[in-house]
Amino acid sequence: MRRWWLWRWRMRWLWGWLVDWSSLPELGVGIGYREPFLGELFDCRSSIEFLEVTADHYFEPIDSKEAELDLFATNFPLIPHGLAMSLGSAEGLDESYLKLYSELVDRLKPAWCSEHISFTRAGGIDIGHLTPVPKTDAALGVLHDNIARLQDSIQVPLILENITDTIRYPTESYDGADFLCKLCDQNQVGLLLDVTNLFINSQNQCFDPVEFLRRLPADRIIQLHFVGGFIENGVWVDSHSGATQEPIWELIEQVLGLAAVKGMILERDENLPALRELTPELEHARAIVQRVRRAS
Amino acid sequence: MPEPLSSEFDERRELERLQAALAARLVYPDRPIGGLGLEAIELDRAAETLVRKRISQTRGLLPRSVELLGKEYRKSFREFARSHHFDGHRAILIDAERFAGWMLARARDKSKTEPMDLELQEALRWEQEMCRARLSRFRVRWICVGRKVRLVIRMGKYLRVWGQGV
Repeated sequence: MRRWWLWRWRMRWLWGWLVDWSSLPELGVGIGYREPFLGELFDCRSSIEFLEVTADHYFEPIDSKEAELDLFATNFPLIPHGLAMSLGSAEGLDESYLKLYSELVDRLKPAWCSEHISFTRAGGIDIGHLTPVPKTDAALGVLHDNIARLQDSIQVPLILENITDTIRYPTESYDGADFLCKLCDQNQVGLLLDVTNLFINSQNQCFDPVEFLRRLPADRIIQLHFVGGFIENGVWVDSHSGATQEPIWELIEQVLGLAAVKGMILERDENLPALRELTPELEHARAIVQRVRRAS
Repeated sequence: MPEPLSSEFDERRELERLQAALAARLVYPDRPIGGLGLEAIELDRAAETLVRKRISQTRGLLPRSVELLGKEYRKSFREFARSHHFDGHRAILIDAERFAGWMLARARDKSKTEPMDLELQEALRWEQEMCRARLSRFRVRWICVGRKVRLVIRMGKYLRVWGQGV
């Protein structure tokens, strides 16, 4: 039994090293799909190069949701983005969630799929929100095992998103950048760099986000998320509720100068305006991509 | 996959305990989390963010709240829910159903001194019935609010509604 596990682990490790991140397709600039956008989605088609769908919203076999997914899949490149895999849970993955997620990925056959570096479930409680894991070797070990379990079930590259550090643990072995580097070293995963989350962490914890960026493995930064946050009692909150602020645009430009990013998603969740009011942000992102490409 | 060494195993057990304590503290803010060195102010802020995200999820669960009752209603619900526990969608729905009932009782009290707003009353009753439909183990329900009768079929957390005025 142990020998079989060892063989499987070696095979997975070898397969992992064969992932050529640079060969992933360039998807451009898109939007995180939310239900109120449906009416205008095709009117704004020319501004949206790809869609990111929340995987959890399509787990149930409901005809209308399946038809919606089919409609999107025939008109846009789709990327499934999971919310509650809870890769950082020391108690392991929820097998029923894993099955639903892998079935969806199998159905969509996307260029890649994504999840978060966080935990959402512990001690039998569903927290219902992304909670940061402590930046320790124990957490890296847990992430490694859970990522391996997930990668055994899916046939496409996996990228993981950084979240805001709403809680800081008293004893941590690594800072944010070192933790992400270690995570990429130990696992064949790409990074979904949420530029807003990076900016918010840098403001709340007083570090230089550009220096943080330079320490990350640039070849692993595959996709970006961006959106506006707000300040409450002197603390930045990743509310996903407003227009992207200027310092975040500047940070996006820095990332694009360092990494060959394959896709960018505007991830608006609250205070949703009409979709056509968000397209200028998509155009602005596209203009930054073109400006950086011309300069390099 | 190599099996973890005993020290790694201990570290994981420790992490599991920490995560379980943290999850309990975030969802039930009155639970103590002593000895772990986490800052109370950060935990309170994280718990508040959790409530905000949970309530934003109710938009998906109860999409007609804003449409029928307005943004102020949701703001008041948020204030109401701040002091309640959130552990899964079920708890949100129980709170939403109670809150609509409380608002309805308040509207009835008001009607003793001024004319009753029938539209508001119907919207609140509809909100209550939608919560009940989602909480019920039965998938099919006839809902009668005012003079309108609607057929509601629940599929997981999604509802299909047929009937006049929907």
